[in-house]
Amino acid sequence: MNIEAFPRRLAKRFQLDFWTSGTLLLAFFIAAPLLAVSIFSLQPSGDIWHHLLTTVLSRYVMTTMGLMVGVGIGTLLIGTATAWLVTLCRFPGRRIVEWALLLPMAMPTYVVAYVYTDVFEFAGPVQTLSRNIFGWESSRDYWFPEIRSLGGAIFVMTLTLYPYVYLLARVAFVQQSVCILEVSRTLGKTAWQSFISIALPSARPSLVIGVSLVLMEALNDFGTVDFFAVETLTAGIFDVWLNMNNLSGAAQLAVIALCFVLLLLWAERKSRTNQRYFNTSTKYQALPSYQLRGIKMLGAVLTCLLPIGFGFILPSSILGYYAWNYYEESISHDFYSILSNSLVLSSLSATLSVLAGIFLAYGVRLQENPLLKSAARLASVGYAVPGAVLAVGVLIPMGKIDVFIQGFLNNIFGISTGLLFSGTIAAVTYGYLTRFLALSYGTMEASLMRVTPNMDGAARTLGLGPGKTLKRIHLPMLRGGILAAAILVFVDTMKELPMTIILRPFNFETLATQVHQLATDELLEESALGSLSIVAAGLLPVIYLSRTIRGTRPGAGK
Amino acid sequence: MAKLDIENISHSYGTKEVIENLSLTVEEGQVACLLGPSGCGKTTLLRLVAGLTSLQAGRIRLDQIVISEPASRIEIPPEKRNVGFMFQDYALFPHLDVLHNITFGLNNPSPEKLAEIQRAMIQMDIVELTDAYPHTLSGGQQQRVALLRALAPLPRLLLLDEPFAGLDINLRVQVREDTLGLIKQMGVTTLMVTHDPQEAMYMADHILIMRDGKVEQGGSPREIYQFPATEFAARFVGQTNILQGIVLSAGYDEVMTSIGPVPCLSMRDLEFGTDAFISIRPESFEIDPDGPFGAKVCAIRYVGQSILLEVEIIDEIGKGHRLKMRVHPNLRVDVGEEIRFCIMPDFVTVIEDPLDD
Amino acid sequence: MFAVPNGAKRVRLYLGIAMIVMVAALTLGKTTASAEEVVNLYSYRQPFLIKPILKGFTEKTGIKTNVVFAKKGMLEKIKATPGAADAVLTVDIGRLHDMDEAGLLQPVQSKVLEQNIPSPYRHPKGHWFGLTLRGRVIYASKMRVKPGAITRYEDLADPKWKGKICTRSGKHVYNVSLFASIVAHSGEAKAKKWLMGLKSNLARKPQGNDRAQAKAIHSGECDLALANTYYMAKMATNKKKKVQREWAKAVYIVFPNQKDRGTHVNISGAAVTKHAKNRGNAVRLIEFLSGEYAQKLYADQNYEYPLKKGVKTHPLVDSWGKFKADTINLAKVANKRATASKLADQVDYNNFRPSN
Repeated sequence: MNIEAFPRRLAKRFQLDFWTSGTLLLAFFIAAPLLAVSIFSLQPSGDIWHHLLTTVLSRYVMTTMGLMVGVGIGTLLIGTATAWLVTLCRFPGRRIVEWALLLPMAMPTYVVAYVYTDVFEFAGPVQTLSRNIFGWESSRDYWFPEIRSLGGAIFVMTLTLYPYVYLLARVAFVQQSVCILEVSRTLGKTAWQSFISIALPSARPSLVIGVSLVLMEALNDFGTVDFFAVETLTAGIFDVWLNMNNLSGAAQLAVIALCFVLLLLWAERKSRTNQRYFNTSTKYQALPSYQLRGIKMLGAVLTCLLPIGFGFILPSSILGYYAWNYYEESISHDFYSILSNSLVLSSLSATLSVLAGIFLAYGVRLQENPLLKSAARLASVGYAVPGAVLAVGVLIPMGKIDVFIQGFLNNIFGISTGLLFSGTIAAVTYGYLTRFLALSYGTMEASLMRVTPNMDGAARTLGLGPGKTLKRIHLPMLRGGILAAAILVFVDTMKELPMTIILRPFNFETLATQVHQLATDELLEESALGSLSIVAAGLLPVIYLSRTIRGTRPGAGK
Repeated sequence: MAKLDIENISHSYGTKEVIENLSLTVEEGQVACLLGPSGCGKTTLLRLVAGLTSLQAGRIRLDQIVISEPASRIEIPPEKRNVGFMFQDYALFPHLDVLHNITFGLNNPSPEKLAEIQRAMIQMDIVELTDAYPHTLSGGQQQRVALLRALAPLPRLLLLDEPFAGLDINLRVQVREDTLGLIKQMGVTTLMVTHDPQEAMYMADHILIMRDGKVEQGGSPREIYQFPATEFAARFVGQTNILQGIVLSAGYDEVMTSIGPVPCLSMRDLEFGTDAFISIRPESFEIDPDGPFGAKVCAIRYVGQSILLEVEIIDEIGKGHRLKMRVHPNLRVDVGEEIRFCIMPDFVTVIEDPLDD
Repeated sequence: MFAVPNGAKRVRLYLGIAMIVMVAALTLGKTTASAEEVVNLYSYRQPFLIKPILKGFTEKTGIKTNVVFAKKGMLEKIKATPGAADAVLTVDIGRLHDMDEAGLLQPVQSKVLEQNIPSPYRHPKGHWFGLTLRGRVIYASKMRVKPGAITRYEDLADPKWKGKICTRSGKHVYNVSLFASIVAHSGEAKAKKWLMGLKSNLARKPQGNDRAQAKAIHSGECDLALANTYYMAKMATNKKKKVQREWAKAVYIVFPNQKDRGTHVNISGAAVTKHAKNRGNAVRLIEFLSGEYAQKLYADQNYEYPLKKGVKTHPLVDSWGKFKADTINLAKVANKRATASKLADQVDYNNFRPSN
């Protein structure tokens, strides 16, 4: 290299370089709808707070907390336990449950809620059968758990959401260095103690990201809680917005819910400020595996089968039964165009979210700057906001830009373009980006955290700029994480409803909107085919995802 | 190859200052070694030189060209510095095989270049690992891959961060030799950090003893060993005995200590009658039945090439002083025995007053 | 063996695929900007219900219709993207009222509409127009409730029905609208007392949809329920689902308050947006919807009560008998929706527990 050719560059801490300004801009772009919602919340909302405080607010908050605690614990237990069993134990059927455990992820929560209500409610087959057998007549003669309740909501959400925790826990366990586990064993701990004291804490960042995704999803859910008549903050948001026609009041509630999440995340991060988790060893033996026998084996098999059974097999069989019986009613002439809409939209959303997630996570890693970190984190809390509220947040900036462009082109060139963004799927895609960034950013952040900064240093001193380092070092190393993020977003977009409905262009249907239309008209059976298609579209990627995780073990072949 | 100048640099993490107004120079083709306990800012210094951490104050020049100087807003990014860096954990890219790791820093390497690399791989005995992935390599192999990777782009400066810390003793000696051989063969200016004085002495043309973010003393291995400037420096590169005394006379080169007058090679220009501390290396003692000093043997350690003795010498007011001495391995002596010896001045030097710190 | 890693190539491939997908996707959703006559609709009504009618409209007038169906956020969408939609279709007065309040609708003078739609069911200045009526009625158990045992909404608060009544959520638009009509007629205090009485008569926590209430009567969970008229017909005529026909068979319809103000009705309606770009087409569409052809379809397919005089209701709907509808100005009812919703909170309607 020619020494004299050194460019006189500004030091990076004195200027906004490409990555810093890019990260800030992108974070702002993605957070804009959230900011719009926050701006609504600043407008006066009348006497709504007096009303809420004196009546239902405390219940909204308690119910929400109950839901979050229930779903959080449920998914953490199921997700971690199954991930550990599958990664480090040997038992019959392990190879199958390894990917099957992810399947419930493909089920839209509201669909599972519909199905279980049908099965477990008073007039459903389970209770009817019990009444016939035991000769009970009315609901006063016996006790049966009410499916339309907080407990029911926790049950259904835990079943469909635990795969997030499972997925991230499994990635963490697979990538964990065996050395530290073996150290623990040699220090006299049993396998179980090693799990509790070593494996679990070192997987903590991943578990936390998994659970916080679950909690945000539980918080933003409206379909399920509405159907189950469980009054969470989200239900309250919609009541204030639609029944009391008070958008600013609703936005205030949404912002409070958001603060709740931020506080939770902040507390968690605070509690591990000084811990950093890298793979310290570059040596990896094959993962040890404990052959389970007898009761232990049975326990392991059951632990893995129950969530799959209740989260996937049972509901999808019922859907399959409906779809079979109502096939003619369900299959519309434009079914395939609807299916392709869904697939295209989901692929698009996955691609964009992952690109943005990588950019942000890497931009934050390069600078270690608290401002950047906060910006990226702010951009990724859209996941906790109810979709319909966020959609309104998207509409405002989009509409403004559209009106501006339209006016501009009209005035200068006399062209009438129509609404470029809000009239196309650009709006809905932007909405997905805002909503699902948490999935991709969280996954990318967790994956990057496991790469020692010396890798960056090595690449940089070998002559690669930050961009090339990302391309040649991180992207290949994070292949598993990237794929996981893409699939999470893909599957979630397939299921996404409220934003799709509000932000889609004219005459545009997806599987989810189709299912929703039929389901709102109380045609569960007719909507089954659509629901199954959503599930089916999610299946292949999910299975593929599971296969890739096994290969993400550092150095696990090429 | 290039000369490295580090001038008055400081660096702190938050309120904790890890490097404080530090200056040093590494001459062209020289192997310099920063020696110091862990946590003294050695690794930070390397990262600053490589540009992986932004410099906060001071100036770093490579071949007279400024590569970092916050005051004039210069900060060449690491990829433009052409500096090789070998990390303590090697940081081999797990998704690339050995060859692609080594050639990582090269753009479209020519066949000649590849042949050159292959020769280096043969020399380092890793040529058969071309297609292997890092996780299948032993520690020593990983180390050599990391070294070749750092050297492949012919860096103007090579930075080594504890290059042998991860290796076991026997391997370390071999790898050290190979590494030094390659570095010298290529003639690359090298700055290495370590906490192991043996390693530093073996590798370095120039040693810089670092303490709390500052360079305590710099010099050739011989200078450092023979004439440590401070007690810290003296103790860090080997064992020593520190005694307090008074300079007898500049001409005589003797320091009057409580155990008697001790001859001293370096007086550091101290005036007659001033207080002085001296460091006496264990090699300074010679068993001599007619020697001026007498002491009782307290402990004996036979280590093969020499015997380490610990003796107690009683001074004139009856106070005991323990001394460590290294004697020829053929000496037969028992604990409790009285021995007589003299002190040779070559490894005795006046050091700075430890209380001045 | 000495090849450069192919990562770079692969990244480029991925990016290429992403670009193609993006371009393809954008063209997918883009509405054709050709010069043909169109009308853009935002609909609260499911497309499959109005599709046949819109098809008829396009056949007759040559005007193409673009529809997007949504429930939440429609008002905000109209506000944010002025001119994107020319007309809105709703299944409830509440939404029309909210949009009007927000200044998003424009007046329409049309002889056809004034002739077709009776004045209580359209805005005095033509900001919105009702198209069909649906009654909020009482479903009663054929087996356990004698005809005449209940005749008024007010009776639902009578302690004799303790543990016998099912409703869906008190926050659902249909119930909020009914509660609002009670507020409009009897005042807030009386309405609250009534709502408390109703709550204490519930058999279970408010849940499910309107059909689920019939299902509950059928299965014996309760004797009375609140529901819309057309669901009864939809269940009774369900060819495929025998169970739903059975639910319908277990139930008969009571039109409340026939001797006084009449049964609470809601409208499905339509309006032209303020910034409509195809105003003329939008008006033509609404006129078409109020006309013979569309009204007949509404009546036959969705079992609603057509507003145009002379259009026959479905024979099944006819069989429930004629009823007197509450003629209070619907805007007045809509005005009380926030109050009604708050009352539901105050009496903690949705939080009913059987043990209470």
